[in-house]
Amino acid sequence: MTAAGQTEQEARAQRALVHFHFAMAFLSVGDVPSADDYLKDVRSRDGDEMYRSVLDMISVHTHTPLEP
Amino acid sequence: MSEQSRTGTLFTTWLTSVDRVDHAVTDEEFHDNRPEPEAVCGAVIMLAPMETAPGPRCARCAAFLKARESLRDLEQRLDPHRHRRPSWLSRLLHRDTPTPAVPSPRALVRDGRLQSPVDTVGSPAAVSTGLHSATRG
Repeated sequence: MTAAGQTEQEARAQRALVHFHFAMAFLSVGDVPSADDYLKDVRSRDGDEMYRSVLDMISVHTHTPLEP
Repeated sequence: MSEQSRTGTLFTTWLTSVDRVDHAVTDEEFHDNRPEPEAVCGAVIMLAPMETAPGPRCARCAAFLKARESLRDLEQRLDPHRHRRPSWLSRLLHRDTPTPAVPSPRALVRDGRLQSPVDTVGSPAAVSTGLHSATRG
């Protein structure tokens, strides 16, 4: 993997972390519909891979298994 | 990080600055310019540590989010399709729907509240223009 690729990967990881924090901010106050809307917005902006990674982080953090 | 708000498609969260004021910051701005993001009020803030308790909300950020909410309502009010006349099939199938506040001219004529604008039968003007020439001959 090139250095540029690694930097891009790190940037995407940081971006996924920001999305995770924002989604958790909604979930921490019990606002599940807004969290859902936010994640849909993330999916439209950053694609399915980013969306799935954020869902994985939420799943691990909340001990909630993802539906297949 | 404190309570988050959602306004239209603008997703923001309230972040506490080092001067103990909560500002609304978008996720894009937070990602690009952390730890000194620009709040929606235009102020570039320095983020306080995460363990800092939330402070009072920035009035300009709150006003900005409120204005966006009202703008969204305005777009809904200005929707040109909102007052579109229903189709004939819709009117036929939903005959019990209330009548519009402003009735159409045809409805006014039908109820006898408006004279028909063009009543050419027997009109002197119609006779003088030759519309009834067949009867004159």
